[in-house]
Amino acid sequence: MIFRLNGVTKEYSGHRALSDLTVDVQPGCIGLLGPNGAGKSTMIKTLLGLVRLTAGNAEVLGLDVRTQPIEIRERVGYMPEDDCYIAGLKGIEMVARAGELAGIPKRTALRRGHEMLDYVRLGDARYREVQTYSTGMKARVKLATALVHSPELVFLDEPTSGMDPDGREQMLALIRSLATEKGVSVVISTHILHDVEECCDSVLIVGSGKLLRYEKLEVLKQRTDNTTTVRVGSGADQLAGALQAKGMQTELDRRGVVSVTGNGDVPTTVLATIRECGLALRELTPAQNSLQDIFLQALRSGNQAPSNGATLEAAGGLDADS
Amino acid sequence: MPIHELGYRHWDGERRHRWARWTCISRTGVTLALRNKVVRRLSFLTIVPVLYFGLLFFAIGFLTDPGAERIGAWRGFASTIIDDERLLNSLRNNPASLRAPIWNDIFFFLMAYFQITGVLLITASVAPGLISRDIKSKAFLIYFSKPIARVDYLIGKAGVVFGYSLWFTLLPALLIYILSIAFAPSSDAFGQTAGVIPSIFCATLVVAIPVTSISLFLSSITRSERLATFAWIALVGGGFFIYRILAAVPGLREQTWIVFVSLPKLLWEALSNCFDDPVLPLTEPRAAGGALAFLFVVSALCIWGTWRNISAPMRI
Repeated sequence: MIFRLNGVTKEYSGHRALSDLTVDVQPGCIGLLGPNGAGKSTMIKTLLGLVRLTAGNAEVLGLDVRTQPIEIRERVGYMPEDDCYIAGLKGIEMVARAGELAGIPKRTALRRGHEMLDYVRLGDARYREVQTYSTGMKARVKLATALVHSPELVFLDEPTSGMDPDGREQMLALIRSLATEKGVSVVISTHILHDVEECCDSVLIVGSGKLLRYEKLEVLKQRTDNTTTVRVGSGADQLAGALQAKGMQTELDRRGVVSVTGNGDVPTTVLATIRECGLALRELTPAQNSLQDIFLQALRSGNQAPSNGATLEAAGGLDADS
Repeated sequence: MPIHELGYRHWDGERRHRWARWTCISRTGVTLALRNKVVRRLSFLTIVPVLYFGLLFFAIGFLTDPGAERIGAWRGFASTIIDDERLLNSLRNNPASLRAPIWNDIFFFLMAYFQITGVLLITASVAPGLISRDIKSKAFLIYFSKPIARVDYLIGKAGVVFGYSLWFTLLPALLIYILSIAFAPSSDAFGQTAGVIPSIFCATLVVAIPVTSISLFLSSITRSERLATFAWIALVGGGFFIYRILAAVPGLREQTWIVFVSLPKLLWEALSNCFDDPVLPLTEPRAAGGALAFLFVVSALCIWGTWRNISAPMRI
């Protein structure tokens, strides 16, 4: 467990930013999804012990956010969403000072600062003042700042926001390497679904301060309606007709991909039909939900369902699997 | 591509104690301030009182040396501060009985005129950007995402102004005191004047604490460094200007309350609590105790206000 929320509620002068959140999150790379104002940033600040809980309790890496916020921040890194920096400092100074603030001795912090800037591919600009950096460079120096004290868990708030496609790919590659090669658990707060699909192995969806879904990505993507997509070299029309004759529902798109839905073992039936028709099989895959579908569905169900029901369902999600 | 790129490595060394981490914030502030040419030049001004008062104590040492001859020129230099012939004669004839009060008054003069001016000037260059720049560049999230508390941040920022205040008050005063003992004709001078050392420390605190707390508060209420600088100059310069006008009005001149409109005058009045037993013809303090109490209350309110202002970004 990297963090646990138990009935967490946070109110700001009458506005409820987080509402009775309950979830146990397992290590890995987790996408924290939600529309603007859903409570993602508040949730992260709560977990860092930066804002006081109105109700409930929360733990990060087994430490209580109410009583041990400093200990939590010694073991957790945070890359804020905002364009924030310490004005007047050079890149290396900012990262090294962040290390010193985390308690790393001065000389070691400087060495770690250089290592982190090399890691985020910012070595050439280390002696430039941070306010002269581009958006992508600022994002990378913030990542270096979040990693300098060797955290076990890193919260990345909109890590690719405002970046060009190339910079975004580089940032995602860094995040992937952190999660897969360096053994650091990563929570990416974003509303860019592509980023989550690229990096994450599980997804936590929040909306209006409520927890809507928490599930492994592969589980979320599995469709429950027993659909298979098939692509053949030629004769997609013929295949669709033959499958319909066997009682299957088919849908043919412009690219010649046939989506087949039916009862029983659909892939076996499709393979047998292709053989009977003498067609060349190119691809046969169980159909998957897109993350966008999952996200929108979760938001819709969150708006309709009572909040407690959604929370309990979400809380039970991954626990049952893990 | 670096030649020796090590990639990301875990670090599990021993961390410094939490209570020492504010020093990093202070060091950052001092380093950034020193990149400003004005601050660097102002910092050198601290040597001026050391030179002037060093020479003065050399003159006094010469004057009080029973074996010294041809003291005329040095007597003239000493009279730039001790402009009372009888006092100078008494000091030459019986230095032991007059050293303590004269030392006391000279250090009061040093603190009340040279040091207060220096501190107010350097604060105008250093303090306004300390918190306002962090508000503008949203640096709070960088600081507070690390294992430090708001109190560490506040102490770290205060440490910058306090450090520069010490550079302009404590350091030159102690240097001058060492020179005064070095130039004295006998080692008895230390025993006779040792009482001035706690007075120097007291005066340093009386100047540094209000200046630090007020300037940090002004820096914390705006994201514009220029506005914070303007507010500080308006408070110090404007207040003193108003005081001078009020002090020139017959009938108001004798009123005690007029000192409360000017921060330099308030500091001057509060300083006189640290240096008692006046001998030299300095202006009599009129509201010494009241000024000290007033500065204490203002400092406490400013610290509270600054605390609230640095907590505000975390509340949204």
